[in-house]
Amino acid sequence: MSRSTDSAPAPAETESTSAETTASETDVGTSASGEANADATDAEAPLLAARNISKYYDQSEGFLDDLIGDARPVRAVDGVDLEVRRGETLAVVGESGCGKSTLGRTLLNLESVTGGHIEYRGEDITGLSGSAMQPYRRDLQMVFQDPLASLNPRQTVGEILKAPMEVHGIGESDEERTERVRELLGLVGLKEGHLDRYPRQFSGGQQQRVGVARALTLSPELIVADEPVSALDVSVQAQILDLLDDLQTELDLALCFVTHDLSVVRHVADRVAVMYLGEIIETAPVEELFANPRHPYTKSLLSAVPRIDPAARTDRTVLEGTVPSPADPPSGCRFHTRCPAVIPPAEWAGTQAEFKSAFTFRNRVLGEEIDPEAIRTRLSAESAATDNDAVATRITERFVPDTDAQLPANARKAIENAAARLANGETEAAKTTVTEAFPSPCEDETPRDTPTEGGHVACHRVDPEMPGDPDVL
Amino acid sequence: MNDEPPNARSNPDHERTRNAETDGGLDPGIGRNSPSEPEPTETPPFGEPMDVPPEYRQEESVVEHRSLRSRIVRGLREDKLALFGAVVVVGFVLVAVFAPYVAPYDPGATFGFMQSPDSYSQADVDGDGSIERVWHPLGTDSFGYDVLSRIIFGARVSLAVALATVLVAFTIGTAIGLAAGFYGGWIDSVLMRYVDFQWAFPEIILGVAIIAFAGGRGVENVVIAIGIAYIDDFARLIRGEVLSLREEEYVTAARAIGMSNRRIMTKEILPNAVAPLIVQATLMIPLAILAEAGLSFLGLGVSPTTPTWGLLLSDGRQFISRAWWISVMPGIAIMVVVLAFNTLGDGLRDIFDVSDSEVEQR
Repeated sequence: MSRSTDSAPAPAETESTSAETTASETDVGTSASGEANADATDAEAPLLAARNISKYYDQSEGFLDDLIGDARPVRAVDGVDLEVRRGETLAVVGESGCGKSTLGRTLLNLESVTGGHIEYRGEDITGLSGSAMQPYRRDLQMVFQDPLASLNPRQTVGEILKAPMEVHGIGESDEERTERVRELLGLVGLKEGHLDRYPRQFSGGQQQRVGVARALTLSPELIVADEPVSALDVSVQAQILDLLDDLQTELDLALCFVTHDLSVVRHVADRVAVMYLGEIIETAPVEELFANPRHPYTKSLLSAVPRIDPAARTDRTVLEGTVPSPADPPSGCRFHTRCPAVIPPAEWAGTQAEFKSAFTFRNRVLGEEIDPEAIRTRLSAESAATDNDAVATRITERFVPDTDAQLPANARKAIENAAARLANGETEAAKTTVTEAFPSPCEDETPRDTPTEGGHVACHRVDPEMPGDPDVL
Repeated sequence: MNDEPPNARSNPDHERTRNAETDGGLDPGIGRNSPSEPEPTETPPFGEPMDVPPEYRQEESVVEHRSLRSRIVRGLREDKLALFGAVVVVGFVLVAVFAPYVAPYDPGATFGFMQSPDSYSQADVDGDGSIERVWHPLGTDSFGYDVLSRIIFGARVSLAVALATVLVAFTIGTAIGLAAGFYGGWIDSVLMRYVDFQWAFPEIILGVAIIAFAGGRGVENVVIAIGIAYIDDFARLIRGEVLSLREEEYVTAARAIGMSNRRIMTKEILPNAVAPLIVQATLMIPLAILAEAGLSFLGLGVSPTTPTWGLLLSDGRQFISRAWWISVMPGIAIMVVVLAFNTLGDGLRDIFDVSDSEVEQR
């Protein structure tokens, strides 16, 4: 991802002029929405752009940790390029822990970046301090995941909603601000009588409406919504999503919608960015992404969306293994340890499924997930032989069964070899064996962003210059 | 939900959303039972039954809201011991404030020396030349002062000094703890090292040192001396609160709207940390009374002539075998007030300890 280029033309060139152009076109696209808008603004400079931003969290505290502890930083966000255009809804999707919430906060300078730049209308706002950031805060707002936690329990809704105006000196008097707050409450579907209530006196959906109203107080250009509905009941989710949708159309807002829920994405987004382990691995217009996902990860995510129509149900691609630690991400393509379409080496004689089977075994060995002593105990419980050979055989049978994949002879041999070494307690030797026997181009090189229909994807299979057939999955 | 908001847009989409919400039409299966509440599946707030008509429900919930004050009142009503403490504290404060009207005699008026409690002496109390028979419920001391009158006037100084002391410690300690907890980093290190340093000093010794440094006895010096000695308790307490509160989402939200650090500290964090501070202050007052008494006892009190409880105690110590009441009576007064403040503080802590949600739903 670090070498990626976005589909927008020459960002550096448009930087200096973009501020004036976009500012003078304030009434463009009030009625435009959806893809039309996304397409129309394609040529325009983005409202908010992330250029190769990273956010690492240092795990060590003090020098003792540096000496003996885990000093590797957690790479929550690692080299992300992202653009949000005027009036569009960009959804950032990914599993929990992939760094999407951190990305959302980083975009608004609520977390300082470790590397890269954030540009708002072409102006670099990276790492601006409180007062320098102040003017941009009016344009960049946020809606939070847990509506109750995001509202101060000791303040009434009126106080909460007036605070942004007081901070930015909007409105001559308290009456004027109260008037504006009344308008906002109406806009988000709350009553004027709610003004003097405390957050806890509302239901979850109403609390989130207050959260949305607060974000709207300053008439922002862009709202980052960090999982705004995941804490709500399903029936209420739809109401909040509709509300955001309506407000966006009415107020010509850009929305950056961070979520793990693909059904929500379909509901609200114009464009989608899929995130895995701190990297954006695919971006595409929402229709394109759902109709024609390119990245194997996106495909497996989509296959996991529940469908009501039985005819529309396809085989689910279930991802194996757990998400690797962001402190120690896999080399090359970060998804290669779990990828169902991991590319076999050129000399591989078998099929893709067979390679995947062998590769999974390899990753289990590398991850030290196979415990030969546990297998030995098991064997003795079954009153079978417990010598090393028996353990090795059991490992092979258990993890790479013959019925599952008729592996090429040399591959089978390598697996048996590795199993024997494991049984012998030579874990490192077993690791070497599998690494040498089952290499993949995916682990060597970071995939480049390949342009696709209205987006890009970072996968070796899609990259025409790399080996691997794109239609495997 | 029937009143239109003033700026209702004519956007049909928007109308649809609002209507769908008001009549539950968005999801017909849910929300039949309370048509005008948007999220009927939620637990009804404040324990009202589900079928209360919504127009009543709203009114009620406004009344039901617990402010800090109403929580204290309600909690005291339930905790009899704390209520007793509160009554005693209020009683002593009233007695101190209205001391000239409550005290039987002038604290400077002299009668017979070392008269035992519940005795009488002859004196010209109102100064009209006629000698009257006067009652000394708690006896008189070695100078012939009426012990009860001295204790009542002593309450003025002792309580005032204690309150002022805690106020000083509260203000400075809160400022230090707030800054240390909120900014973290080197600011935290410097401030908390100071607090540690201070903590390592015995309070009385620190007080003596400060009084010596400030140039001798006097109300202000005593207040400053004891106040400074108690800064660390408040600073530690509030720093701990701030450390957890600054991670709250509403603090992030406040930063997202561009709020300044100062405003975040005073408007967002402090109000949420005030409950434990109140408890701490209540528990610090008796300590301050004792510290003042200790300083007075050591001869470093407010002044050698102004009656304070510590001074009364100290004055009587050389006569303890002959006239125990001179020392014991102010000692009992100190004990009762300290006990009252402690029960009140404990009660307040219990009241605030209950998590907000539990209180709200009770």
